[in-house]
Amino acid sequence: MTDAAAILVRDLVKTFRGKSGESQRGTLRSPKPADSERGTWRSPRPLVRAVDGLSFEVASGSIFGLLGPNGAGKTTTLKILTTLLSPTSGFVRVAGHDPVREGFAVRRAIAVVLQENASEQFLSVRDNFLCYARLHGQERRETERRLGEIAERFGLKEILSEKAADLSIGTRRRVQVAKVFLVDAPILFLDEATTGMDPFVKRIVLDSIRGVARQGRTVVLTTQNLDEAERLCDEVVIVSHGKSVARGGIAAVTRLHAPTVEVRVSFEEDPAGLDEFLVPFQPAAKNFAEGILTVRLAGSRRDAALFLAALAGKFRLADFEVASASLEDAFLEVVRKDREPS
Amino acid sequence: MNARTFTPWNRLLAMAGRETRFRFSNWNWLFWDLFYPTLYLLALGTGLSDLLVREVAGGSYAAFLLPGILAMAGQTLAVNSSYALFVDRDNGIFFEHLTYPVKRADFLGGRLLFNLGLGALQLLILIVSASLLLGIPLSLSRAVGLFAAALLAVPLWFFAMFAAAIRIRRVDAYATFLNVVYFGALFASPLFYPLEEMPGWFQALSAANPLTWSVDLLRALAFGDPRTTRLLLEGAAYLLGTGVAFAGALKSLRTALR
Repeated sequence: MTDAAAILVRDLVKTFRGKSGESQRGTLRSPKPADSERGTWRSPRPLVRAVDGLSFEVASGSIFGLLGPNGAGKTTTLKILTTLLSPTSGFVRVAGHDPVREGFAVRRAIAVVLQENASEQFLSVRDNFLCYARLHGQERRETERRLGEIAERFGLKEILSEKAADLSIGTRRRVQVAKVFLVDAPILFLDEATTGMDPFVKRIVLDSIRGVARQGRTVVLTTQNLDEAERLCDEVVIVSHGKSVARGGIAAVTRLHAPTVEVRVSFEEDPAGLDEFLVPFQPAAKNFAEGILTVRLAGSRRDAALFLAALAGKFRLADFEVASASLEDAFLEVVRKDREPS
Repeated sequence: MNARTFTPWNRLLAMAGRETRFRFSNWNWLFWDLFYPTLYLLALGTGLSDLLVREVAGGSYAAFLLPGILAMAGQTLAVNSSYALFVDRDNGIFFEHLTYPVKRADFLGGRLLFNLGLGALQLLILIVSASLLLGIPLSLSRAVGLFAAALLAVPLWFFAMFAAAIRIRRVDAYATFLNVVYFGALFASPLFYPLEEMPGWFQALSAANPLTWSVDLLRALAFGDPRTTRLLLEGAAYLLGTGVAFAGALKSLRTALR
């Protein structure tokens, strides 16, 4: 593990026993007869590989995104890193500790927002915060000092004395997320933390995450919102079928896996001969509607500039817009490739 | 987190503090926690005590019953505590707790600490009610002895039912399990009646029941019992049982999700 790595994961595997059924894949044992007289068979419980050789490293003080479609193995990975699950095999270190053998040491270094809604429903919002901070070893005085600021920031000040059970699901989630910013854990895990939040609260959470990272603390998050990941993360790993299919900085992942650029152009007059003009550029996609041409070209913004220069030499342009491929484009590309039968 | 100040004792207190806030948030739970065994004693120790003419240890049925009800108190608390786990699981907070910087043993120990505190309150109510409402003669030293011994009976049931509640994940299945275990243990023990005239198989079954061990020990403390070897064996079995139940609870906690 490098000095600067807060988390190191190598060849991580987690298998579960699935439900028995004839349609399941990857069985370990031969089927057993359930009712041999009637000639029907019941397959044994198959082995499901939720995480299948995943490797990545999270630099200390960075914001890291664990991305992937539903069922890719993100939450399972997060549960292993937070000592809730034991891996089947592989090498894992969180803050230099093994989550299986040194679970307590790992838990001393982390604060976690689980994907599931979690709150002390019968306690007031204030008591939710106090219990959380106390169980993270924070002095009462320090908690009281921070509580006002956190409650203010997350818009919870007016409801501190209300029971969590009386709040909406969204507000309870806000309390759950706000709690992790009350303590000083060096590593924060946020599993789909902003799901179901309105844009205002979402922005507060994102700003809080950036603030935590500025303090030199590490944030690991999973999200289905790739725009959010793109704006927030320093590095990402895209997981599909339990494996890493892309990883690195946002720009690198996007460049590597979706090396395209989108150009939108409007014209001052009808661009006669446009189709013939486009042929040598071999656009990956093109569309001309209501006087606006949209083309997707292989390459970078520099290639887009060359294309625009050539276009301007031939036609009278009114306006143009260039957009690089997004993380979402890269995500869709790598997951699609992974899903294609080999 | 301040590792220097977050000592094992502080972790236990933090966990017990959380449990206290949680259980005191609902007066209904608290009522059953505190008064359920006392209600048993009052219901059976009044009318039924007058009806019974057979001579029993202690001189009256109410006095005979008291050590049994004291032994039962820890079991009742354990049942309520284990149900609270299902509430925590439904609220999602159970798994969040498992990510907190407390050891699994602290998690158990803190909850046990709360149960011991609540158990002390419950036993106090029980002993005072027995003395004031039922007129059961109890010297201070005997009352203190019974109180302490009954408190020592709390951990075994707490750990055993905690482990069962984690392993049996469905609340309906757990309710069935509890009915069998709770009432099975109550009736297959000398809690309500002497076992001397029961069939041999029933006595053998009862001898393997932890509730029998604690009832025998508490009754020996209250009225004396010449069966010294048996009592020593039962005491050892109780200690061993507590250790096994603790190990079981710890293991179930460590593998709660696996």
